[in-house]
Amino acid sequence: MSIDIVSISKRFGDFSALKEVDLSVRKGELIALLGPSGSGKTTLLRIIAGLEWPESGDIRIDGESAVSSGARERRVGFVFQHYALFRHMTVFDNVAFGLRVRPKPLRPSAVEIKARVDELMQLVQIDWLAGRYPTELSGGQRQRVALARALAIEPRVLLLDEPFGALDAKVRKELRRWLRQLHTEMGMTTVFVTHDQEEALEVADRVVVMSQGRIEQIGTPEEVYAHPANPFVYEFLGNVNRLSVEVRNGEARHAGLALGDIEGVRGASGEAPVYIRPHDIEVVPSAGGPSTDGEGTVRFIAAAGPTVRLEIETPGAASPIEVELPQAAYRALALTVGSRVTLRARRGRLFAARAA
Amino acid sequence: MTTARLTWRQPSVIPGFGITLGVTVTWLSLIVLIPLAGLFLKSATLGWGKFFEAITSPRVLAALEISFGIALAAATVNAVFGLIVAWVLVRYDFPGRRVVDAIVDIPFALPTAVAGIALTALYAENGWIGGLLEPLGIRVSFTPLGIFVALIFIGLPFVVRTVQPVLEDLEPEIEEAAASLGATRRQTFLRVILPTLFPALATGYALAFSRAVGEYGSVIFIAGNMPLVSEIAPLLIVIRLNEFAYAEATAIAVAMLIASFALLLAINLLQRWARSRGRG
Repeated sequence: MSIDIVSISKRFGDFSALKEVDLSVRKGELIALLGPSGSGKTTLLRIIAGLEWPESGDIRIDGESAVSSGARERRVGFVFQHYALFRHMTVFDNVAFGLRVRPKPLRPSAVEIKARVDELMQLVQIDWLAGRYPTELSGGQRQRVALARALAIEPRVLLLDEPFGALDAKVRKELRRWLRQLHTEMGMTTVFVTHDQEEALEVADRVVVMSQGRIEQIGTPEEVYAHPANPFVYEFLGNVNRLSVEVRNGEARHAGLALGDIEGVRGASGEAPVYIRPHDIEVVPSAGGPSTDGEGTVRFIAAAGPTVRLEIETPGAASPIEVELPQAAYRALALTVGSRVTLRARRGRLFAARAA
Repeated sequence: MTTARLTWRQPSVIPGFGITLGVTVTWLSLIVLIPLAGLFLKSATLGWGKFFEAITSPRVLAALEISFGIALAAATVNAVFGLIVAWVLVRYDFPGRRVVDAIVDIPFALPTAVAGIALTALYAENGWIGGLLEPLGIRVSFTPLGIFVALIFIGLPFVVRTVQPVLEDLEPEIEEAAASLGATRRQTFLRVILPTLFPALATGYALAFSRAVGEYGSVIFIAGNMPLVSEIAPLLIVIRLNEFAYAEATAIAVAMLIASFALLLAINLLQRWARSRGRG
């Protein structure tokens, strides 16, 4: 089912958690709400679920306004960050809860409930845990139980609040691939909240980047990563170098490195910040001699992993410039700490002084 | 083979196991076990025949029935209303909440005789509350109903104070989860909150009950103390002591002790069963 969020605002006392937020989630989409803590992403999710009420605005689920109905009537599956399992019930009873509390005329028979719960537990791969209590399960298993429990009510949309936030890195990775796969199989409209950009970019169809109660950018993972709409999104999604450059006659200049294709230079003038991803910087060893423009010294090398991270000190930048190279390129350059190199930025983005 | 030393204690980094266990056993012996053993020894001087005679006389049976029956009833009422009080104190923030919270402890601190006299005065025919009940034909002071009121009074804090911390720890997400799964407020309370609180509630119930069974000070003022009608077992023990019938007095005490022990054991087993389903 589609979700339309129309001009939603929410305050907590003096704190404005959401400021006239608009968002449309298409049927069958998997959306990530991404932002730092306090950006309003969880509040937005809770408003969709009916666990929080907006001051103004409207929520339409499948075209039908849901803002006046409570969580109970919305038929929205919600998975909590800390699972919120019923600890006095077995896994089976937890999953069956939503079916058992239905009003008599709508309640399936005990046999039907059993069949449905068994099917769900198989789907989330916890059928062998049916008789256990939540405290006997690992974090990942609890999260699967919480998901099965939310799916049992055949929700119109599925909402997950930091679903992998409390898990360790390995389980996290495994579970998010599995969630992606589950979504492909079921095709249910799903919104999840995360503060982990890697998670959002890997799992979601579209990413909604939020900050201070506003949506900064909405787009596919490629779009938001390759073409951030503003400095916030640039800095929030992945590593980035922020350099102050001098723009004169439609050309950006920086003492530390040569600048290639920089977006947004046209129309700007004077001092402005340029954002460059570490992997968009080319490194060439210097050929001795007196130091030239765009030269720096390697100060730090982290060579473990698929990419090698260098920190390079340049006369023009206050903090060292970060560069990422593939292992093969790094080995070809034969760099050590103290090597003199010349830098060239292949691409970057200039933002004229930000209109607040 | 030095590592496989036979030992019945778990290796632990916490020091002082030997000395603290020693203190515990000595202390419990001095305070609880030796006096209780003396009680059993004294009642044993009666011999089986006399012992049974002493505890099966109509007056003693009536007193035991009153003590246990009314204590159970009072603990039950306290479980219900104590839960409500704890709920209000934890869930709502209202002006005077801290005052109400402090008032709950008064039955702990007040000398029971004072409580007894105050309740008697209030519930007497010409008292503030008794005067209102009199036209309805309800008499509280000097009847078993008076015992009931006094035992509710002294047992209330136990339930509130055992349930309160558990209720405070109950995450609001649990209720939100129940609501988003379609449960009504009533279903959420009966199926989710109450079962989670049950072990604490049972503890409070057991404490309120034990306190009520042994209560003496407040009851003797309000009960009227009519043999066979409103005479509690602890009072009968005192009466026997005043008659210098020490062995008979201890026989009643032993009967109370055994009955209390059996009831507390039952409550404990129930609690353990509930806890094994929740584990935590």
